[in-house]
Amino acid sequence: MSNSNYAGRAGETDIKIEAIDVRKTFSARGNGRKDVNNLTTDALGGLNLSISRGEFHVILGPSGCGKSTFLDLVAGLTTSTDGTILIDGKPVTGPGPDRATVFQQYALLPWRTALGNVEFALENLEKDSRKRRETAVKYLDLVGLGDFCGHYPFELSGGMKQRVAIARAMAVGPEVLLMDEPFAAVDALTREILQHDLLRIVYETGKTVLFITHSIDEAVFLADRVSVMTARPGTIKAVVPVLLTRNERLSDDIKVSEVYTGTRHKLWELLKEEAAKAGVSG
Amino acid sequence: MEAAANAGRKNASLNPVRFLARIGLKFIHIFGAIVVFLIVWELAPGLGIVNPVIIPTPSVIFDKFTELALNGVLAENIFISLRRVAIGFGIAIAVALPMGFLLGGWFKTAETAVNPLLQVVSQANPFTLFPVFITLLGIGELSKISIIFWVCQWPVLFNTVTGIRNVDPTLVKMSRSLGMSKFQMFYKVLLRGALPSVFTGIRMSAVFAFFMLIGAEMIGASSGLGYMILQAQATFQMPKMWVGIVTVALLGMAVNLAILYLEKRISGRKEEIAI
Ligand SMILES: Nc1ncnc2c1ncn2[C@@H]1O[C@H](COP(=O)(O)OP(=O)(O)OP(=O)(O)O)[C@@H](O)[C@H]1O
Ligand SMILES: [Mg+2]
Repeated sequence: MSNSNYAGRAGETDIKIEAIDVRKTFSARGNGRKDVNNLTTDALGGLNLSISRGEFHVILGPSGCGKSTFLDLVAGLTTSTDGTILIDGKPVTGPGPDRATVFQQYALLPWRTALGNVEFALENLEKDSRKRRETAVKYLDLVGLGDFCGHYPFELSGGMKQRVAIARAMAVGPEVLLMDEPFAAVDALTREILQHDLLRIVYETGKTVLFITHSIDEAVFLADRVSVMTARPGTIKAVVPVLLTRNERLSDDIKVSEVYTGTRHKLWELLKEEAAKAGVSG
Repeated sequence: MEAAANAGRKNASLNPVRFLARIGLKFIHIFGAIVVFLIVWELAPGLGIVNPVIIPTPSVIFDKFTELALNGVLAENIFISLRRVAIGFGIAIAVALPMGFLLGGWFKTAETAVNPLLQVVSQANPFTLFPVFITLLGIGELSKISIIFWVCQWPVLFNTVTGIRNVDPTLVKMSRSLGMSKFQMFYKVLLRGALPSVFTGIRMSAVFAFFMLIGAEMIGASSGLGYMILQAQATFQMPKMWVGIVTVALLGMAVNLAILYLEKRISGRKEEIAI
C-alpha cells in the first residue's frame, strides 16, 4: 500500500484521466416558452486537468460551476460540446466498467435489498449468479455492511445507503471511482466516518478517485490534490496539492496540523472569489 | 444476513391460551365493526327503524343466499358475470399495459402528442357510450365485454405512464453508468419502478369493471348478477335482490384482495407509511 504522500510521486507521468479544453454548452429548452428558447448555458468553458493513476483528486467549486457536468462527461453519460476527455490516453465514448460512479442521491433501487443493489451492478459483468452474490457480499463486507445484506434501502440510514452505493461502485472493479458529493446528505459525524473509511478502502485498492465536493474540509482531508473551479463557465482556477501523507490522514488528528489549516485557508481564499462571482451571476 | 431476515419473526412460541386470546382480539379488531353492523341491521326491523319488506334482515338474506347457492341460480349468474369481467378486464390489461409502457418509456413525443386526446376520450362517461356500443356491436356479449374493456383500460394506461415517468431519473442515470443497455434499463428499472403505480391502476380498473358490469347488465342483458338484481326488484323479490347486491360487493372485495395479494407477492417488502 502506498504510504507515501501523493506529492512524493508527482514526478511520475502516468496520467489516468486527462481533460483537454473541455467545453459543454446546454441549450435550455425553456419548456416551450418562446422568450427563453434561444437561451444557452455555458457550463464548462475550456477545462484542462490531468489526474495521475492512483491519485485522489478532489474538485472544489461554487454551486452551479459545472462540477457535476464534468463528472458526467468523465463517466461517459453525456458528451462534451468541444474538447476531449482521455482515460489511459483513449477518448471517453460512453460508460464503461473501468469507471464507476457514486451519486449524491444514493441511487439505490428501492425494491432491492442491499445485496440485490450491489448484485445489480454485476449483472452485465458476471453471468454466474452465485459468483455475483459472492462478490456482492465481499464488497458489502468491505464497506462494513456485511450484516445488512438483506435490508432494503428504506431500512438503512443515509450513511449506510451511501456505503451500499460505494460497495456497488467498487464491486464492478473499476480503476476510476467518480464521486459526486457523495456525503453531502449525511450528518457531520457520519460524514467523517465515511470519509475515513473511504480513504482506507481507496488506499487498500489503489483506485484513482475523482471526487466532487462543496466542503473545503472534506477536500483537504481526502485529496492528494484539489482543483478549484471558477464560477460558470467552469474552468480550473488552481490546483493545490495537499502535503499530507496517507498515513497521517488515517492515523493522526490532522485537522489541527499546520499543513491542514494552511491548505484550508488557501483553498478558502481561492474559493471565496469564485463563490462571490457565482453568487452574483446565479 | 439470515439473522437479519429472521429478526422480525419473534414470539413464535406462545402458550396456546394467550395465542387464542390474541387471535380473538385480532378478529374483533378487524371484523368487530362488521359484526356490530350486522347485529344492528338484524334488530332494526323489530325496533321499527326499517321496513323489513324492502330491507330484509341479514338472516333472511342469508337464507335466500343459501337457497340460491344450492339451486345453482347464483353460481350461474356469478359465472356469467365474472366471465364478462374477466374477458373485458383481461383484454384491457393486455392492451393498456404495453401501451402504457410504450408511451411512458419509449415514445415520449408520441405520448405528449396523444395524451390530451386520451384524456378527453377517457373522460366520456361510459354509460353514455353504452348505447353507441350496443348500436355498433349488438346487445350480445360483445358489447358488454367491450364496454368493460373500455372503462378498464384507462386507469391501467394512465397509471402505467405515470409510473414510468415517476421512476427516479437518477436510477436511470445509475444504470446507464453501469453500461446497461436501453432494453435492460427498461425492464430492470423502469418497469420494476413503475410496478406500484401499475398495480394501483389495475385495482382501480377492477373496481370500474364491476361498476360497468352491473350497469351493462342492468341496461341490456338477460343474464348475470346485474340482471338478477334488477329482475328481482321488478318482481318484488327483495331478499333475492339483496343477495345479488351482497354478492357483487363480496366479489369486488375478493378481486381486490387477490390483486393486493399478487402485488405483495411480486413487489416484496415495502416501507410502511406511518403518520
Ligand atoms: N441538463 C441540463 N440542461 C440545461 N442546463 C444544465 C443541465 N445540467 C446542468 N445545467 C446547467 O449547467 C450549470 C452547471 O451545472 P452542474 O450541475 O454541473 O453544477 P454543479 O457544479 O454540479 O453544481 P452543484 O454544486 O450545485 O451540484 C448550471 O448552471 C446548470 O443550470
Ligand atoms: Mg452537482
